[in-house]
Amino acid sequence: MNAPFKVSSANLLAYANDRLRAAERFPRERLIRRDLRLARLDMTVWFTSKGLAEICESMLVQHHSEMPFQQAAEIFALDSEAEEWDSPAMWDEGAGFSSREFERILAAGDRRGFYHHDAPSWQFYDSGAAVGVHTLPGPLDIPPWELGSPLRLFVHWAQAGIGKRLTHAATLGINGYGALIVGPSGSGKSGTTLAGFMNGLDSVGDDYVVVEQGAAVAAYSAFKTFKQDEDGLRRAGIQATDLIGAKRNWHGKIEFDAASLMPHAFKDRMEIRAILIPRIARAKRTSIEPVASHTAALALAPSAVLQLSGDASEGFRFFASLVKRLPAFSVILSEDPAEIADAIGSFLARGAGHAG
Amino acid sequence: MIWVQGQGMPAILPDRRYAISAPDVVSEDFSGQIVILNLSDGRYFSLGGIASTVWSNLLAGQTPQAIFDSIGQHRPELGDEANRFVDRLLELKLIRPQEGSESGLAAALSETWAGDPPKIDVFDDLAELIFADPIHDVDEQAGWPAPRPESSDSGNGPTK
Repeated sequence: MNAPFKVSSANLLAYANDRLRAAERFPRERLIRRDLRLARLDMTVWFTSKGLAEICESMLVQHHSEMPFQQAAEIFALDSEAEEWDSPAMWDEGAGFSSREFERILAAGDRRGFYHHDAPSWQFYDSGAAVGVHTLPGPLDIPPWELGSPLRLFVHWAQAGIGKRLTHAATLGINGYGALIVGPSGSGKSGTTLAGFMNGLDSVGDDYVVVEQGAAVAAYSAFKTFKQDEDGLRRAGIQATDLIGAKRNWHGKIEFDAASLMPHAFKDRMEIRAILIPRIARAKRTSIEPVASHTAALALAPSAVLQLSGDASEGFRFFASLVKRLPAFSVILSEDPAEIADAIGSFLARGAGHAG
Repeated sequence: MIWVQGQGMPAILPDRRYAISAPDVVSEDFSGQIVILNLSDGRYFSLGGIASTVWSNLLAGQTPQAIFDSIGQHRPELGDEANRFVDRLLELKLIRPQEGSESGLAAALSETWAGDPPKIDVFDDLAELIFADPIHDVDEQAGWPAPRPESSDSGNGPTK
């Protein structure tokens, strides 16, 4: 069908279903296939654009396993410069818009979705069938914040479907054990992670990681990129010009390939034993003090739930459960990256509170 | 419905039962301290003092009046503050009157009123993730929707 010129609450679900069906009918021989082995998830992605396929391949961390993972998802990233793929519809601005209502309408049909008005583009996901479509006006017209974390929402929706969560948190670890680093923008989360990463500690990500709650809590790498402003890079002893393939992101931060920068320190997985909440204090020495679980919940859960659309109630329960399982600590930071890394490394090596 | 003079906001009906404003509002108890998240506007809340006990009792089906009576017996000095706190919950749309179909037996009243006066901390630093929506910023004065002043890379993308 021709895409409706305008979409509103009245025809949103029908439009989502139409695009999903059209994507599945699209001749596969005209698409570029990539099989991505993501964290606990095999994702087959069909692209119209070679450029977008390359971005996804270069930014997503692939996990190696001889056996297929239990969960598979199939995603179509199709742009209307390709023959026979309709331009993305526009949202009917006269009808108003509510993000929550948008989610509710789609969830009622077991769909997830996102609309980016600037391009415009749509992402729809059928949770039952684990099939998604990203319909784009041009080959690289993904939302600007997804250039460093492509397919972010599809990874989120697919992981949520199997009880795991793409989580807005950083990580630091040692010897396979580590901590989630959480806190609001400007709290020192990225700086702390980079300080540790450049001074002997491991990480599976500095922005989004996949978290699994089984007998133990585990975090898996999702994207290869770290981001930091130039001052932060300088403090960590890194010259932006030395970083291969570094790009300035939509918020003006430098995004760089952490997996290439420190391949031995960028890990696929770590067992999570604690939650750390950094606080910039310019203290003489870094200190680590226990905090109540509700403090950790405030630092983690709302941000983790609201950063990614869809499955919000389930997400809140997931993060509440996570916070109840793990001890939480405030990290009162010094200004010395090596000293911060030593303090956190010693803390983690002691067992990070011996969480069970 | 009772209205508080001059505020235009509905006030609590003391003998009515209330429920959490699901599905938009979710809450969790962390060792006696309640964290609440409003998914529709991105605001989140932390309850302090005896607020957590008031909240748990409301969600257990106790009426505000039963809660106020209990506080009056054990901590009469906190009665006014407890009243204002429950009004505030309604004003923030965190609770709503129960529907007839929801009424069942209330759980036993918890009368643990030791602690500070009820307190609610409101956090709105993540509200931009909701209000910086793909189409419009919400402008309550102009009416909704109001066009965004200019196109940018905002959208409902992540924070930094």
